[in-house]
Amino acid sequence: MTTLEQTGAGRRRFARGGALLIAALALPRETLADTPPAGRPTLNFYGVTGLIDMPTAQSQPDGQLSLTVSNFAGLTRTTLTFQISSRLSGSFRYTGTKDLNYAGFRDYYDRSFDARYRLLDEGRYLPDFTVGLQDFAGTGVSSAEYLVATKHLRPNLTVTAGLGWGRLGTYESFGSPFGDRPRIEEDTGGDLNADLFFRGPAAPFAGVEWQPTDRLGLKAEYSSDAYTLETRQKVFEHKSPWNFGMEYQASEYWRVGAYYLYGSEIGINAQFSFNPRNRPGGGDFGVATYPVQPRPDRATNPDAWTEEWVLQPDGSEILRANTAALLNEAGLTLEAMAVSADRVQLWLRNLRYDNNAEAIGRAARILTRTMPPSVETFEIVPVEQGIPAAKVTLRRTDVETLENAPNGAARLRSVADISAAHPTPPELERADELYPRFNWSLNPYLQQELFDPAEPYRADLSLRLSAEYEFAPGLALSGSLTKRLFGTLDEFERPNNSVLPHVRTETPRYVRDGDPGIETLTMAWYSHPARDLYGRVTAGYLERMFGGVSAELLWKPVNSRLGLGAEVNRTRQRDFDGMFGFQDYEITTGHLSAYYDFGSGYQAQVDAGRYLAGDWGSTLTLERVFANGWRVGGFATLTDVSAEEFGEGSFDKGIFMVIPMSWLTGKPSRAAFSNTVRPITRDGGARLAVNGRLFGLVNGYHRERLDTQWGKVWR
Amino acid sequence: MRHRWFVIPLALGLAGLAGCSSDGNRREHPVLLALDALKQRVDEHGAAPPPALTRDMIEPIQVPLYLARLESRGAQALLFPIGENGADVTWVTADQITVIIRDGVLRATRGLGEDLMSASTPDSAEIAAAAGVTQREYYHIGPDEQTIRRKYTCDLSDLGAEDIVLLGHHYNARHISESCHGAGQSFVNDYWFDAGGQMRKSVQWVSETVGFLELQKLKD
Repeated sequence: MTTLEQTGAGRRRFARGGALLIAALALPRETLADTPPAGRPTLNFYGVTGLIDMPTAQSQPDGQLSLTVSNFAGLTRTTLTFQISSRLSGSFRYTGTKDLNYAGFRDYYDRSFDARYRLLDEGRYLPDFTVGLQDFAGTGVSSAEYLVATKHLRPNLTVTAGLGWGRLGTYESFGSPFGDRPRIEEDTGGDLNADLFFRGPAAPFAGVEWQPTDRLGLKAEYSSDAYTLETRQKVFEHKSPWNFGMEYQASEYWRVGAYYLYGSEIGINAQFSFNPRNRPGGGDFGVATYPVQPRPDRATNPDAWTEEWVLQPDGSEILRANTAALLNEAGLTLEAMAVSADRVQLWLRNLRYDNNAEAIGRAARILTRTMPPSVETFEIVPVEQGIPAAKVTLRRTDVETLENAPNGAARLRSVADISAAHPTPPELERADELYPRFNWSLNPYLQQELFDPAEPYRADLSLRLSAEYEFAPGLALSGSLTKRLFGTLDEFERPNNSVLPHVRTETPRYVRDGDPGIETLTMAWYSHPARDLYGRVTAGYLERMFGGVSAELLWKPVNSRLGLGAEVNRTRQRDFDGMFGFQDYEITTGHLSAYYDFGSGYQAQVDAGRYLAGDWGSTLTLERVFANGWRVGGFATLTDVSAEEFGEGSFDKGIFMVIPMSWLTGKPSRAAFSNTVRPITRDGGARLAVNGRLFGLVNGYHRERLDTQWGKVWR
Repeated sequence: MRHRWFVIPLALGLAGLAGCSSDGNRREHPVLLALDALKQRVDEHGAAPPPALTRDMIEPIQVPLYLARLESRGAQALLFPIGENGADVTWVTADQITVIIRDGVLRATRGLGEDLMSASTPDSAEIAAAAGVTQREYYHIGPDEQTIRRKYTCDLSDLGAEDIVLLGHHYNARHISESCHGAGQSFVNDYWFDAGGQMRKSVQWVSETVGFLELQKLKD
């Protein structure tokens, strides 16, 4: 009959310990065939798609990330380029020129941003046609604009011709078609130089690229850059506009080249290029889960379908225990469950799967094994920090019929419902045995300081001991201690010339005096006060430099592209020694935030409010989020602090990257590396770095994001 | 002045290092995993090669059994049935890779990397008839985690009788081949049907990076 039974631990262990395992199918894991991808356009000395020193009109494949290091005549350019969309790309570059003796520096270092947009696609007669802005917001030393066209004559032969302004209009200019170029203000740099664009002398450039084999490339170009400043400062001698080079595609990711430039110099270039869409290991090698267990046929076995099990006093208890055991095997946690004769709601905590749809799909398959046949509706509610982020409703019949159906994922999505979770559904029984819950971790991490003229790269390898004690769902005490192992960050010392409160420019003192130190020690409370509303209050040592109280409220409907948030923080600056003391500086900051998902992974965030130095302004963040969890983005903050008060860089800006661990390992994991690079860190436009902001917690389970990951619901 | 450009890629690679935690499986670090892999390589090197599979070894096993071989990875494993949904049977290896098979016809895989997530395939009887044209539709999980649909048109041909040996057992089999093309690719699946009309052995295409999966039905 239909009496519920607790399943014995281990009895259902999923095919473990097969005595006759000969060799694993997934091992050895071979990397993808090491063939150079034909047709990917190559990069130039500026790290953008191009010839040698000149650009071409082609674009990298959508999403491509390239890191290029080039050197000639004491000029070293390190460039990170991201193909933001199929037409638009952005680059961030760090240029060092030896012995330039310019602007008061012997060796001159400069940071610059580029943007390029491909206006026309190559066709039978038309070439690719691109407009580019080089160093459009920096000190202007490398500033140039260009229009360029590139056409294939044969599949392995391209010709390029273009017009350059600024730096690219300095050799054999034919005049200034759009008027004079105003002199750039040589102060703090960092402003948009829009009044310079396409002004001043223009000059033509051209080149050819021939790839006789898949791996070998030959390039020749006529450069329109006279290197006026560099030749005047005797960095090198410009004898000829002609440059020649030979490149070798060493692997799918690496390309190296050697060149003869300007009739006098030998140059080299190394390009590392990959696409975040493609996993280096070739795919997801995570283990499978239980298949669906279909119910017995109702016509021939009507007894199995009775609902009398609901009368069994310990019935829901047993179902909860059975489900929890199987979920646990799959790396998932049952937080709570409400079960009735025809419906089950499962509150699910996912600590393993970076793909949220996969976690939901696995839970659904497990429910087919544990729920009595009369339970037809599965409601799966993913829970983050105790708060239900959404509700995915599936009909069990659909789960059964679509498991192995062609295009089963898309077909399941068409009959699945993603909606708001009820904050406190009746009948919900929490798995009280989960609390209190303690976990800890010890991990190394890298702290970096980039672009100091005396030493462009400094880093410390440190250890972080983190621990968390959850009293109840959504209520946790957590903290982290850091201890430096070794590195060079302590050598970092610059006279602090900031005229603003020193909210971010005292990093060297925090590094030197605060080792070991308490990084964070906070009590956090999360809540879901009403439909579409989420709340957070965090109090304690919020980040390395500030402590206090932070409160946040977020409105984010599950099916909306738009989210709105508000945050208020009352904070005080912490002592340098990383212990419990505070300094005198106290400030109330806060922001109103808007989040918008444009689809296809493009997201924007605007934060407007008051920053740590007491300045008022707003931050714009644009990012591209890939289905596999990769994120690449940039941000800029403008506040009422003037460029002069801000100091070098004029305003706060930077780029960031999040690399999911699962992408590297090919196994499911929610861990990720994130890295933010700022040309320079100053005190203006600085925001409190509190952990656990709400949007990042809940948005992953909302419709836009779940839909991009849904292809793995049956994974 | 010292140049340290070379460290920047390293830094951007973000040197993940071995860590530990109260629940080990949650926080995996690439270096830790790499060390595991290395250890495994060393172990494999040092240890005697696993004994070759023989008929005697599988004799005591009381469940149906496939021997699966993945040519592209030089790997093989035994498959045990773990679930049935209609005509589709899910088979699992000891290391939790699953293969979904319907009467010998490969339907899906889980855990091989570029998995075949689902497919519409001809059924076994249609293939055994060895006449005419079949249609296949494969749904792969692409490198960016999106579903890629690929359609193929296939021609069946009967290559006649062949003697095949499956772990010491001889079968007088009929060799059918299915030549597929479409979606910028072409591949050939091979099937061997025994005298009872059951698909005894097959070599079926999974995906571009996984290649062909060979299946031998050792026990019914």
